[in-house]
Amino acid sequence: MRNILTLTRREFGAYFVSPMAYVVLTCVLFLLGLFFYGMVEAYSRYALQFAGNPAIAGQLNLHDFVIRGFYSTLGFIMLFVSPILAMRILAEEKKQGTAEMLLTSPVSTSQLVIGKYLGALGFGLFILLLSLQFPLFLVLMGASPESGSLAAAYLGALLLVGALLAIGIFCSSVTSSQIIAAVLAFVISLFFWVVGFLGEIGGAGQSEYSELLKALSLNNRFDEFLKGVVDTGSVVFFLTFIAFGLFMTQRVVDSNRWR
Amino acid sequence: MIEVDHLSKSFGGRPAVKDISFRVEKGQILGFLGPNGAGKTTTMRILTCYMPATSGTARVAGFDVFSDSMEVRRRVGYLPETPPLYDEMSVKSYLEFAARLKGVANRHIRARIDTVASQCGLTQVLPRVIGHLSRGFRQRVGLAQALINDPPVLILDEPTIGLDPAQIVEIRQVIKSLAGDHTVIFSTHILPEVTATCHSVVIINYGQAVIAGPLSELAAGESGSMKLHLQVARDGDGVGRTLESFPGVRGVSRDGARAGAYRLTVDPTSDLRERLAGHVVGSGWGLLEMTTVSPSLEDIYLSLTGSSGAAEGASA
Repeated sequence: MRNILTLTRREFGAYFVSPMAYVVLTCVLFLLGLFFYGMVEAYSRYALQFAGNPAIAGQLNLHDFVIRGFYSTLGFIMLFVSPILAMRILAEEKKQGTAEMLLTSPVSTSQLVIGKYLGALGFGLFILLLSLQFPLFLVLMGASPESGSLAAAYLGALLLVGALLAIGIFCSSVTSSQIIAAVLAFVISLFFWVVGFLGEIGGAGQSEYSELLKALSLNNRFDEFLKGVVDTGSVVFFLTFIAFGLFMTQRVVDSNRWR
Repeated sequence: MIEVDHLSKSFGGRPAVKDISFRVEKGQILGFLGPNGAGKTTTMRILTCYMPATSGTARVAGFDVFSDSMEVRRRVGYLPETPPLYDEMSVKSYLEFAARLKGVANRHIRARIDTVASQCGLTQVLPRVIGHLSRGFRQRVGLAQALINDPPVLILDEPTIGLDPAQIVEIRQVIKSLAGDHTVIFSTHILPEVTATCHSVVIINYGQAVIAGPLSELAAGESGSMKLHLQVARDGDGVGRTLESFPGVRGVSRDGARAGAYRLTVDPTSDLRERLAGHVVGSGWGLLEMTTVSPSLEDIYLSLTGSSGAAEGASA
């Protein structure tokens, strides 16, 4: 446990000693701010416009209009950011020779992979925590977002980032080039993002096949949480996804020793 | 302390290390000598549990490197060829990380950092960022990392590479000071390094150990003959011929371009120096110098590895 924490702490700290953390945080927060402003502005305009029409005003709600759109944007941004966060985790160690120290230290490969993964996940969580300012603005503006559905959105976002980073760390283990790791991670992540669309155009004839594709989609799973539904199946899906990614990574790192 | 038995390693069918055996006693320093690409790094990587061997066994401190990998790793400090450094960290936080990683108890970490820093001459640079340090300091940080948990066994891969002469002497002093409490293996292709520091030596070429043994045994009468260096004041045609026919002399050759200098290969069983000196003086050649030449490690090394000295193929 101590080994894992040591690695996690270094991994997390490594983001902040390079320009990486600041560039990523600036971009993410700028984009989020832009979208947040746009959504809130549109919502208040509609709310004003249809104030005299109770039938339509009743259908306008903050959650569907702002919260869901905002967090789905956050998820989409993380699809691009996660490969960048994860690319250096193992590739850089191999390139600069520090892998030789890590792999000859009294630390098991599983501890190494988990420790490093948690460091990256910690940074992902840090981004999510910073994004908490946006619902806080809503509260300051007098709106009252439902705390339950917000919590569901954050749980979903954390699981999504966790899955994306698990793809990222796996890709980082198969190469010593960070660029290749990032591109590979992005391609795989994108596949799991769009695979649901593929399921939707699948047609009625292959319903089982299209159901499978939809079930594999990170995007569809995440959207469940944004609707405010915490489905055990989805939670298990994400956790299994992460565990599988880490397991594969551990196998790759261990098998690299034999070459 | 370290026992290597018939160790072999091949990469995709290409052998890098072939059937190497040697052992190192506790507290000794072993020089691991060979041209680039001879298999030194591969052997060290096997000993440090970085990679498994293809066949054969290696035991460190009584633990097998394959089946008791964790026990071995706890007892070995390893400095790879390129020091494993995080450029963006300060020396102090890097050593702190290394200490935690290697299981140094929290309450001992500060003391250990201070100890290794003074051992490796790093006290002044502890707060500095590793990326800004010179090559010599980087090498020393690497060494400090290997020493941080005070392991009984140290494996150092070319610890003096890329250093200037003064730094080489310093690192050598550090390594020498470790002998006794620590068992050290270090690799190099610089010969004087071994003579200056080691108790015993393994010379390896094309993945095979060509010679292994204590330094003193190697230096003494390698080829079963003794060499003499002789210089006379008045050289002539007769000198060489007379020397050749002198009883006990096996061979005579001119020693370089110096006038009157000869190299004699003589029978080591009978000491003919006194008779020879008397003869030279008696013949009126004027004896300037006579010394026995023991074969240097360099001679042994070059005769064993071939003068070209560069092994292609095997990955370093």
